[in-house]
This record gives sequence, structure tokens and C-alpha cells, in this order.
Amino acid sequence: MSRRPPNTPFRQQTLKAWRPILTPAWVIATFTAVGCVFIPIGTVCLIASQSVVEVVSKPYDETCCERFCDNDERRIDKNPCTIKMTVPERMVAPVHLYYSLENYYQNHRRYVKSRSDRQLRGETGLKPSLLSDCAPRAFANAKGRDEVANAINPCGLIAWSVFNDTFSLADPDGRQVAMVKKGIAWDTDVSTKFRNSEETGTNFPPFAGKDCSPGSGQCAEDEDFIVWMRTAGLPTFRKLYRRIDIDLEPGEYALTIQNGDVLSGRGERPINRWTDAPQRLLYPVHPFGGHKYAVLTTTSWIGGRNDFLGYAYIIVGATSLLLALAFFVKHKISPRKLGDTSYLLSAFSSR
Amino acid sequence: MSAGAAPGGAAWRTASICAAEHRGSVGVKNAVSTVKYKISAGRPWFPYAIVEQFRRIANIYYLVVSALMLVGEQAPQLWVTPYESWSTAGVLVFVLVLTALKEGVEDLRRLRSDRAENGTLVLARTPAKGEVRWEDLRVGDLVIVRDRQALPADAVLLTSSAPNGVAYVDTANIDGETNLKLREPPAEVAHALGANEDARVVGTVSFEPPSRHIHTFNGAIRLDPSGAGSAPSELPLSASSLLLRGSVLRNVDFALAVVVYTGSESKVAMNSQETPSKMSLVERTINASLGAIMVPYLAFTTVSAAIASTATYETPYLLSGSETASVLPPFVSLWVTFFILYCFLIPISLYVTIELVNLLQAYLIAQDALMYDKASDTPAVARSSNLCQELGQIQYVFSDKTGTLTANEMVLRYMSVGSQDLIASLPPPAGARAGARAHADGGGDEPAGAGTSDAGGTVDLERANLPAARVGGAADGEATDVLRSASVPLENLLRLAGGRPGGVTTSPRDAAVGAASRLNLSSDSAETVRARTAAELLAICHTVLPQIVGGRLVYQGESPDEVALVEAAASVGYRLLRRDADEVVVAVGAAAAAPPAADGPPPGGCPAGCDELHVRVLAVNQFNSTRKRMSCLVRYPDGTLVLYAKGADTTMLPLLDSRAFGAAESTRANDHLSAYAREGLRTLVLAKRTLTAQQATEWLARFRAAAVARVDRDGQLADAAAAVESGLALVALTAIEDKLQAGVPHTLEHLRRAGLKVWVLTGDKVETAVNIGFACKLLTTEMTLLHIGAADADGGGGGGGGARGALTTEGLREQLRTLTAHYAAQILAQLPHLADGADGGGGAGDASAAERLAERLTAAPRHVSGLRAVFQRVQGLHHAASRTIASRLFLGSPASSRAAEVEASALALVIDGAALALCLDDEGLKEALLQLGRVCASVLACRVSPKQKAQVVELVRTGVKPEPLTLSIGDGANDVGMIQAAHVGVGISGKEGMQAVNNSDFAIAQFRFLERLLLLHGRWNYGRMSKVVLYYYYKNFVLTLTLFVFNFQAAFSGTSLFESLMASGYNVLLFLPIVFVGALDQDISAQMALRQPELYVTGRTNMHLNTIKVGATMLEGVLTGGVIVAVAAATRRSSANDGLYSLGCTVYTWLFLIMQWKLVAEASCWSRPLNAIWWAHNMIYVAFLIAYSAMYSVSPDFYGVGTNTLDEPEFWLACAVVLGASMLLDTSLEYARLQLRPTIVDIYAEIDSGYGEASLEHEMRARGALGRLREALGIFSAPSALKKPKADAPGAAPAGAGVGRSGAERSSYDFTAPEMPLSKRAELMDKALQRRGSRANDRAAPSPAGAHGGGGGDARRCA
Repeated sequence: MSRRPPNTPFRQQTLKAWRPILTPAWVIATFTAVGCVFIPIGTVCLIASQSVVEVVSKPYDETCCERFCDNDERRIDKNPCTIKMTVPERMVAPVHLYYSLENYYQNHRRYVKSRSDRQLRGETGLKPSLLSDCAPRAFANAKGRDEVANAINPCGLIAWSVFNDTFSLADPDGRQVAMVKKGIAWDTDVSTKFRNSEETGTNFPPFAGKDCSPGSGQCAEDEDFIVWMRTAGLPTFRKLYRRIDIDLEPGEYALTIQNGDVLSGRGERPINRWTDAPQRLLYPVHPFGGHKYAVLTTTSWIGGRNDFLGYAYIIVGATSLLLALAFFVKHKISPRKLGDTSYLLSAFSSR
Repeated sequence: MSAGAAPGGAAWRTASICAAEHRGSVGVKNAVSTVKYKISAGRPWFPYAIVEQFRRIANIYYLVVSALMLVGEQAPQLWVTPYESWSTAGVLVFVLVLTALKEGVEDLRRLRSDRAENGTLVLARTPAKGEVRWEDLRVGDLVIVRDRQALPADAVLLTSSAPNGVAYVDTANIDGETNLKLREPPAEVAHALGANEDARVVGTVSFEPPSRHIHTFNGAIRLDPSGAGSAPSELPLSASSLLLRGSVLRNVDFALAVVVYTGSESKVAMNSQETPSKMSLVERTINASLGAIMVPYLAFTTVSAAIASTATYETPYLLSGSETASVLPPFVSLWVTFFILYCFLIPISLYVTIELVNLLQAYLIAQDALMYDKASDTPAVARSSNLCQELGQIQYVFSDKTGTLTANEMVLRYMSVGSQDLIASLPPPAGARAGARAHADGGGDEPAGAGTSDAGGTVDLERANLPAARVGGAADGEATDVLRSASVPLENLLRLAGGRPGGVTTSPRDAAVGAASRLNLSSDSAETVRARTAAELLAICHTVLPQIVGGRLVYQGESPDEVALVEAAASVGYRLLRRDADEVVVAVGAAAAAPPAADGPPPGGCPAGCDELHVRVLAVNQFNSTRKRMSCLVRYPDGTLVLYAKGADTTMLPLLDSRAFGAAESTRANDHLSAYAREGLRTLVLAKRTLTAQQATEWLARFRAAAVARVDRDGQLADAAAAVESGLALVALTAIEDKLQAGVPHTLEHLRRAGLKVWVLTGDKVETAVNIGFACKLLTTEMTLLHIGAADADGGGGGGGGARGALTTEGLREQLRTLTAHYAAQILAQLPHLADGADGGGGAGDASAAERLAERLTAAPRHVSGLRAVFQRVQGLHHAASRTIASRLFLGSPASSRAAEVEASALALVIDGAALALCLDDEGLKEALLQLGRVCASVLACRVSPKQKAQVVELVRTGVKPEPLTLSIGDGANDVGMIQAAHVGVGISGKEGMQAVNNSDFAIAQFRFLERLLLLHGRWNYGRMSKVVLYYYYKNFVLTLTLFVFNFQAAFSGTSLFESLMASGYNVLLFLPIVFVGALDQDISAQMALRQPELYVTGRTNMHLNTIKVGATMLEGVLTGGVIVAVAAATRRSSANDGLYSLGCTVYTWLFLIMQWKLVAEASCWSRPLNAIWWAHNMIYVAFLIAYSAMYSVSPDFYGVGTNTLDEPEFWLACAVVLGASMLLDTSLEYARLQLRPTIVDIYAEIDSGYGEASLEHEMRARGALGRLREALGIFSAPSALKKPKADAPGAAPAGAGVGRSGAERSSYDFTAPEMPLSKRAELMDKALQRRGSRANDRAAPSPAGAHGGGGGDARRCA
């Protein structure tokens, strides 16, 4: 019995293979092709993006300040506060209303972790140790940490700092524009991740007085809450507030902002260290130098207004064409013959 | 009885033989344990196996990171862990446990085999007779071993079933030698006991303490005589009566032996030390990469921690006042957090990947059918899989000669009996033909006929352009004439006698009979008598063992030379029949010359028509490496006492009787010896001396006294031998040919062209070695030979200043100085024109400057430090010059100066053993030698001992900076030291047993496979591993960089952009494609790699995996990572509802795509399996995203993220543009580099793919370029007068050698063309090699057919 290794292409390393070589023809052709494909794509993207009508309000944290704007302690906001949104051209449904926050580090490591998914999903009787991520908003009182009843539900910093400005939009004629709340959060979140339980709302002031029974669609099942709980990746972010299913005609719209929960004035204030006078404030962003905006925007097939993608395509495509041209010129002026070893010699003897 | 301590330390032990009462008092139990993990030794398996793994720095690192993560999880008040700890700790535990289990299983296997061995039964008398387990044997027990049974312990043979109590053993288990060895008991003992396994044995045996020297043993035995009264006499014991544990008894029914060394004290156990484990490149790579990566790693960590602890981000929503603040200073706490965050920079999977790639590479080496030797049915074996890629980076090759370059098949080729009359009648062409053959062999690839036409009176050496350094060489032509006219090719001896010429070994029966009969019967002319004496001597004076195997008489001996000599004697009618302890039986007569006929007498008997000559061997003076001779004192039946001696000329010639050995004969003998050596033959001097009875008796008494000496027995024996080996009469000179292995010249030439420095370390004499060197293309005619050492008597002038006679350190220094000056002068002669090329400075001033410098150098001080200074100076110039040239060729490769150093070298150094020994002892000389050796393309060290071989390797490893990668290749036990000393040891599974192979990292069956192993597998594997390592660097660097950049957007809080499992799964998701690249990529095709050995430069100069490459990779990583995060920020800013994990998922996908693209860009060979696995991974990735985002219970964080991200068209558009940009960047940079600064490899890769009119004409021009370049670089090569005339026709090869070379290459190209079926290729290659071999071998025999008849013809047609 011979020990000769069997003759298979794999074992003899003679597999048929493609050995790519960057030949001038190939490179120039490919680069040209890339340019020819990318530039039109970019153009289409850009057109789509620019067809989007986007109305961004002035930073309403400034607009809505009534007095003592530079003094965190004494600041008073207009609450409610109405700002103008000028729609320059017809906005075709669906129109989305976003609120946008600036300089808000929702992606901070401690912030991101500060939640209990099991609690949000409606599990009850969770051991206090399971809520350790939520510190320092896991328990209502420093004492009695071991008691389930002492737990805050929903616990953690994300929930505690829930955004609670509310918006209503009036058209130029002063009529309220109907806005749809359903569907602003991911279906997966609504169906699986967030569920009220008997304990939901315990020791959590923003939910006080709401019907937090399972299936009520409020509290943890509230889509506004769910949207907030999906922490943003970057410190400047938008969150969807409402969808408007009718076209908006050009004109001046009035957006009224109100901080409903705080006005109720029950129990502990949502973000308790920020100010002593919550009634006078909208959702506070001035302590960290942030800003708030409201955004009305239509959508196109690529989403919202985003010129960057189109420009990126065009830049890449144009670069590709330029490079192809440069390579072509180089190839015409001083070609290097492929596989020509005399090149090595000429490089050697040229000097 | 016990071991008494005697002064001097050489306390002998004494044990009673087979005595129940003292049993067990001496020595240890006969149990052997090779188990590694023993609780008794303080090495319990599991803990010890685990702890052992922390010798790897990488594992310590992973342990530290895991520990930090665990601590952070348990005690967040110290620091915070960004990832779940299982992602690192889990993998680490998995790897540790798996390795420990593997170790455990291996140890269990060892335990089982130990138990099996220890439990083997053997018949013993303890003193009761019965079967006992091996482990129960004790010193002093008698063992009765049967035929083909293994010895359970080291035991002294007392008697056996054979006459005189001798026994034969097969020691293959111990030293790998397959020949049987004779073991003899003390004659008196054997006589007293008779062939009786139950013989009464009472007495004591004493012996030296256990040692690891297999070939030495001293002891004494004292047997109480059965009859009371007579005093017990003590008889000496030597290694010739010692049966070693593990050896197998053969050819006798039983042997009775007394156990002396047991268990761990047995010689084989004392020798079985663990082979030094070589630090694998994997570990070095990882350790080095740890060092390299630590820099950016610590930089990232520290910068992040510094920013995080100093920058003030207003984040009131964190309610930080109420959080338990870290008990550590913020900087420290944050530092640890970031340290953990960036831990994927050194992924644990790199280690796993490299190991896996290594295994695959080793597997593919073993599977190479073109490295399979049909004759011995041996495929290549990669025993150290972790060294596969080192094969591609070798800079120095140290090779054994015998058995490695040569086939170790000895044939007696010439015998000179010093006669003028006899030789005058010889037909001259025989010698000429032999010379021509040697020549053709040297230029083995040249078209037939090219070498033969002018071979009339010249030997290779003449064309070797003996350099100025080697002044006063003998007139070669003259020597050859002498050879032709004076020596007797053995077949011509037969021819003279009327027989047909036929090889010694293949002579047809009747011809041999006729020849031998004429020889014997011819008139008693002096020459005929001498020739007969010589044959008789050859048949009697040796240690060869005749054996009957399968009904045929075969000779077995430790030295193949001796076997060849005995066979030669047999073929002329002196056939050795039997040898007993003290008698040799030789069949003499014409009939004996023929191989025994099938119907003849039994092989051990005397054929009809011839006489049996019984010669009593009275004493044998053994051969050893210091004496370099052996002799036997024999008594003929008629009472004549003759001492026969044979040995190396250097030791034998001085012993000849000066009266009988006159000046004329001395000169002639020297001429003959030189002439033989020039043909690359091994020479021996045969001599005899007749003794009177009185002389013999006196000397024998002395000999016996020495033989039983307890102190310095060897020395005394040598003295005794020297006393009788004097006043000898010359009988004959013999020349034995050591055939070259197939394909050796081709292989060596290709290795040399690959820029490898080949150092051949041989035990042969200088002349022989130089000639083999030329024959196998190690040396070429373009080279300048530098010779260091004593001027040999037959060498015709040694090195520059070498004084004739004894070599001194001072003389050696002088030689080196002269060579240096010579060398410097040559450089300076070349310098002016190089200088203006290099610096543009140049001009008229240079010549005089050069002259002045030369003067200074030649007048350099004689002391060593002065010498060193000169060398450094000269080398500086040399390097400056060659760097300028080479940097143009290798286009700014960082290693260009190293490349140039090799390319520039056209020097070859020859050094003999004496000089080497002196050099190795003196620090200054050592360095000077090394400096000289470094600039030589080939170094030939002669007369080197095994220990010196290892020392030379060590010298290069430690002396050359940076440490070059070395490879040793050898086949014998004497090469083990060198094989272990080198980075890579290659063993040739040849005739000299398995010792070399067992200690090697790679085992191949033929030297020629080394070419494939290095130039093909080595280069591929190096390229592959470089790609794997760089890819890993890049991959994880980009990942870490995105994390780092992202933290600018995340308040430097240490947030991970990626979900935990995604982050730790990064290397898993990208695992298999890179493994496939690591196993299967081919940066250049097999045929091109073998056709253009110069391409080996990539690995040799480490062009792929150096700091610049790593730096460039990092830089690319910075660009890519930065761009990714910027684009992410720009595109994601406006999109809605996307959380952190969506952003992470998007970026992660881009990373994945870019890495997949990078793989495409890096792989030079896109094969089907790679393609399949690549696409599969893309699919798997998408599937993973979808599946993972549905697993709420595994990761609530990622729940829904994948599907929601994939839903957005924007995501896909962004992926495409990021990928496009990345491809554009990579491709245009690579293309620009290819256009402006292509490397030699790039250009050949293009040719490989069929570009550039890869026609022969084109190839020729390419070779021309390289050839001319080499000429330009080889600034010391032949003066212009000796340069080959340039071919006139454009496109023709510039050098004569090129024609032949290209022919050979083209054929090798054809062999390996992938479109040809493998079997066909292997067949063609075999045929071609046979053809080459047969051309080399068909000397006197005009019809080479027979053996490979049709095959040879076919191959010729093919060519």
C-alpha cells in the first residue's frame, strides 16, 4: 500500500483559481464604470433627498424661555409655549413631526445601561439585585432596598429622564392638525419589549395617575415612552413624535409645546435635581447647554432629508472618473508594460 | 554489595550475579516512565497543565483582561466593564481547558505505552527461572532473550546459542541503524558456560556508573569457578558485550545476559532527554505583536482616560451626585474601563487562527505528491507545524554532505597499486571519460555533449577559475594526466584481465569469473601481487558482518565505505563468507567473484572451484575519528602474522616505512590521491606490515592489557595501536565514489539563486569537499574561492598567508587579514564607478582615494580588533555600494540592504576543521570568520565534527545581527546537534537511520525536495501567514479605532458602539475566509516560484511582515476607521428613531464588508473553496443579523435592531458607498504602486498570469536583466577577462550557463504546470531526474538502459 498522497486539486494545491492582476485596462475600465454608476445614483439620491420638505424650528428652549434664561435656578419657561413653523411649500403626507435634542449624551455608558429590560417587559417581583444597573434610580428610598415594593418601575436613568414635552400643531387657520401616535415606535418594541405589569408605574412619578394596567397602551406601553427608551447613538438626535397623514399646505403653523406631566405637580419631579420649579419649565436642556427643536418633514424613498448620501456617491463617482482619467493619461504617456522584467533593469541602469 | 564512592568520581558498581540475597541492592527498578504529569513529581495534571499555558504571554494578557472584567462586574465601585466578561473569560477558559485535555490525552497515551512496556514478560533467572515483568528486573538478574525479542534492560552478554556465545542485535530502536551489530561475550565466560541457558553462573559483575554514552562501557566480570580452589579471575567487559535496552536480538536462538543498568539508568533512558522545543514563530509573532500593538493600545487607553477624566461634559441626567463614586482616582478607574473596552485589539482568536492555519499548512506539505519519494514510499512530513512559514524566510542553509547531498551509496571506483607497467597498457579514454563525467555532473543541466567535447584532459577545477587568494594551486591538468595514466579504475583491472568492463557491483557473472581467474592466475608481477594483496586486505581487514538474508549473502556494516570495499573485493574473487568472533573466512578464486548461482552451494559456503581461506583475527584496532584508521592483526593458516591497516591518507602516509616508501612513490601516491580527490572521491590508503611471532606476542600482550584497563581504556588502546601501526608498506590507494543524490546540483543552484547562503559542513577532506561542491553547483566558476586553513600536503597550497605545517591562531589571523585586504582591494577597485552612480559625487578624486584606502587597509594592524575594524570598514563600503544598486531593484524595500548583501556576494569560503576549531575558540577570530562567511554565498567547512556543526550554526545565529533564520538539513545522527541548533531542522529519511528525522521539524526523503519545501511551500506559507497576521492587525485595529473615535461622540464614557456579542463575535464572523487564505493563497504560481528562485527574496528579507508594513497597515486602519465613523455620523444624523445599537449595527456591517473586501484585495489566488466560503460568510452574516435580532432572550439590546436596520434603503445605499470608497482607495493606491514602483514579485505575478509575452524569448531577456544585475552586484566576481562572452543575438542568454539552466527550468515548468495531471507530472519529473542521474552515472558503462530502459528514452523525447 503506497503512502503516495492522493492526487486531488486541493491536496496538490492545484485548485483552479482566479489570480486577479491590476492591469491598466481593467483598472481604468472599472474605475470609469464605477464613476458612471455612482454619479447617477448620487444624483438620484440627492434629488430624492432634496424633494423632502423639512421645516426645522428655532431652538425652542430659547424661544420659550420667559425669564431668568441664564439662571438655572430661577429660570421660567412659557408653559405652554407656542412657536411658529413656516411651511414653505406643500408637504405631502405622511409628514413626520420630530423633536430633536442637541448635546444630549443618551449614549453615555452609564445612561445606556441604566434600565431593566425584564421590568419593562412586565416581569414582576424582580429581585432587587437584578435592578442594580438602574442605580441610582432603582429604589425610591435609600432604606428598604430589599423590598420589591420599594423598587422604581420602570427604573433607571433613561426612564427617569423621559422626555415629556408635548406638541400640538395648528394650521394657518387655527385648526388643530390631526396627528397619529400609533406606529411611531418599532413594532418589535411595541409587541415584545414593553409591557405593563401590575407593578408598572410604582414609585415612578411620570406615570402617576395613568392607567398602567397591561394592554392599556399607556405608561410602559406608551409609544412616546418606547421611543425615548431606544437610546440614541449620537449626542444630537431626533425622535419621532407624531405622524401626520394629511398634506400640509404652505403657511404658518403654530406649534404649541406643553409640559403636561410636570404641570400635574404630583410627587417627585421627573428630573429632580434640575430645578426647584418644575411648573415653570418645559423639559430642561439648558443645564447641559443643550437645545431642543421641533422638526416637520416629509419622507422620500430614502428616508428623510439627507443630502450627504447623494454627495458621497457623487464624490466617490467623480473621484473614480478622475482617477481613471489620470491612470489613462499615465498609461498613454509612460506605460509600464505588464510583465516586463526589463523594467527592473531599466530602473536600475537609468541613473 | 553497593556502589562505593571512590576518589575521582568514577566509582564502579558491583553486583552479585543472580543472587537472591543481594538482589535489589544496586540500581533502580526496571520501570520506565515517560509520563509528564505525575502527582509524585509535584505536577498534577490539571493544575499543572493549566499553569503551564501561562508561559505564553498572550494567555497572561487574556487572563488579566478577563480578571479586570470580572472584578469590574462584581465591584462597579472600582471600575466599569463595558462588555460582559464571558466574552473573553469564556473563550480563555475554553482554550485553556481544551489544551489541558489535549495534553492529558497525550500523557495518557504515554502512560499506557509505559505500562505496556513495563509489563512485558521476559524469561529471567532471579535466581528462580521464570517469566517476569520487565519492571521487576533488577541489576544482577540473568535474562534469557529469544530471537527477535527486545532487551528489557542494558545487560552484559554472557553466552548464546551461537558459537563462542556471540549474538547479533538490531539497534534500530536506539540509533536507527538497521545493520546488525555483533556482540561478543568475554571468550572465557562463553567458553565456561557453553551454549546453555541454564548454565550455573555465580560471581559478581562490576561496571562504571550509568552514563549516556551509548558506545562506551567499561566493566569487569568475575565468575566463581564451579570447582573450588582455583582463584576467580576478573575478565574485562567492554561495549562490545553490552546489549542495550530496546535493541532486538537477531539470528541466535537465545542469549544469556546479566542485567547491569535498569530503568531510568539504562543508556537509552539516559539519552531520551526531551528535544529542546523550538520557540515557534507563532509564539514569537504573538509576543512581538503584543509588543507592537501595545503601543497604540496603551495610547488609545491613556488618551481616552485622560480626556474622560479631565473633560467636563454636562450630563445632569446621569444624576451623578447620587452615584457611588469610584474609590479609585477617576483616571485609574477610567483607564481600566478603556483598557477593557479596547481589548479586542489583541484578539484571542488570532492565536487560534494561526494554529489552525499552521495545521493546514503542515497538512498540505505532507500531502504534496511531488515531495513523495517513490523509491522509499515516503511522503514529506511536517513535524513542527508551527514552523511552516519559517521555511519561507530562511537565510542560511546548513547542509550535511554525506547522505544529504550525496546518496551515501559507495562504489569503489579506482584502485592505485602504484604500477607503471600495468598502467601503461591501460586504454586512456577510461580516465578521460571519467573526467568528462565528473564535468557533466557538475553542469548536470547542460545539454548532452556540451560538456564532453573539451573534457580531454581537464577536470572541473580548471574551469573553476581558482582565484588569486588561492595561490600556487597544483597544475590540475597535469594531475589529471597522472590520474589517467596511473590509476586503475577497477573495471579496467578486470578488463586487463580479459573481462568485460562492467561496474563492480553489476558485473556479469561470467565476465567477473573470467576476470578474477586471470587476475589470480596471471604471472606474479609485482603489481598483480599487490593488487591481490589489496583485495585480500579488503576482504579481511574490516568490521563488516556477512549475513544471509533470504538465501543471499549480504554485507552489513556500520560504514558504507567498508561495505563497498568488501563488495569490491568479492567481485574480484575474494568473497567474504563468514566471520566469527576471531576468524574470517574468505572464499578465494575466480568462482568466488561471481554472485552465487541459484543452484550453487548455500550462500555462506564456498562455491565450487575456489578455496576457503581461514584467517584468524588476533586483534582489531578500531576506527575512530581521531585515529582515522583501523588495523587488524591476523594470522594466516601458515602462521604468517600480518597487520593490515587502512585509513585516511593524512594519518596513514606518515606511518609508511620511509625506506620502502621512497620519494618517487610518495610523489606518485600524493598525485593519485589529489587526482582522486579532485574527482570528488574518498580516498583510503591500504598498507600492511608483516610481524614476527615474537613481535606479535609482545604487542598482543600490550593490547590485551590496554583492553582491560579500567582507566582511560580508549587512550591506552590507541597507544597500543599506534605502537604497531608503523613502518607499514603501502599496498594500494583506493578511491570510493559517493554518488550525488538526484537533483542536488539543480536544487543547490536554485537555493543559491534564491539568495540563500548555503554552508556545507562535512567531515570530508578539503579537496573532496570542494569537488563535490563544484559537482553539485554549490560552487561555480564565477565565484572566488577563499581558503582558510592549514596548507594540505595534497591541497597544493592553502590560503593566502598560510604557512605550511601546523596551524596556529596567529597564522590564521594572518590568513584572515590577507583575505580581508584582498577583498577590500577588490571592493575599492569597483568603488569609483559605483561611487559616481551612487552619490553623484565621484569624479577623479575617487581613484586616488581608493588607493589610499587600500594602502591603509593592507597595512592594517595584525591584532584582532584591528582586523575587526578593517572588516567593518570594508563591509560598510560594500553595503553602501550594494545598497545603492539593490535599492533600485527592490524599490525601497526596507530590507534591501540585506537583499543586496546576499546578491552581491560572489565569494565562497572554504575552511578546514583545524582552522574552524581554532576560530571557534577565539572570540576575535570567530567574529572575523563570521564577517567573512557572511559575505560569501557559499561556505564549505571540511573535517567538521558533529559538535562543531552545531557550533557553527550557533555562531551564525548569535553572531549575525539581526539574527538570521537558519535551516539545517542532514540525515545522520551526527547532524542531530546541528538540526536542533537551527531554527528549522530538516531531516532526510535516508540510510543512516531515523535519528535525524526524529529530531527534525520537517522530514523529506530527498535533498531535492528542499527546493519545493523552501521555494514553494515556504514562500507560500510565509506570504499566507503574513496576510493572516496583517489582516488581523488591520481588522481589529479598525474595530478598536471606531470605538475610540466613537467615544468622542459619547462623552468618553467608555460606551461600546457594538452590542457585546457582536463585538466579541467580530473575529468569529470573519474567521473562516482568512483561514482559507492562510491555507490556500498563492502569491505566485508554483511553476513561477520554482522557475524564478530569486522571488524567494520576499520572505528572506521579510518584505511582508516588517514594522513598516505593520505601520502602513495601522495607518490605513486609522484612515478607514476615521472615515467610517465620520460617514456614520453624517448619514445617521438625520435619520429617525435609530438607537445606539442601530448605529453600531450599521458601522459593524460596514466593517464587515470592508474586511471582506480587504480579503478579496489581499488574496492573490481566488480559488473555488475560498469563493464559496467567502460568499457563505456574507450570507451567514445577514442570517446572523436577522436571527440575532429575533432573540430577545439572548440580547434585549439587539432585539429588532438587525431587521429594522436591514429594512432601510438608506442603510444599503450607505453600505454600497462606503464599500465603494474603500475599494477605490485600496485599488488606486495599489495600482499606483504597481505602476510606479512594482516589485520583482509583482512583475512575475503578471508574467504568471500570462501578461508580458511570457514567451521564452521574453523570459530570456528577464534572465538577462537579472543575470547582468547579479554581475553588477557581484562586484568581486571574475575579472573582465574571465567573463563569458556576451551572446550576440538579442534575447539570448547572456551567460553560457544560462542556456542549460533555462532548459532545465523550462522542463521543471512543464512538470508543475497545473493543467497536466499530477501522476503525469510526477512521472515526468522522476524520469527527468533519472535521466540526469543516469547521465551522471553512465560513465564507463555505455549502455545505461537496463534499469530504466524505456523511461529514459521517453524522457529524452520529452525534453
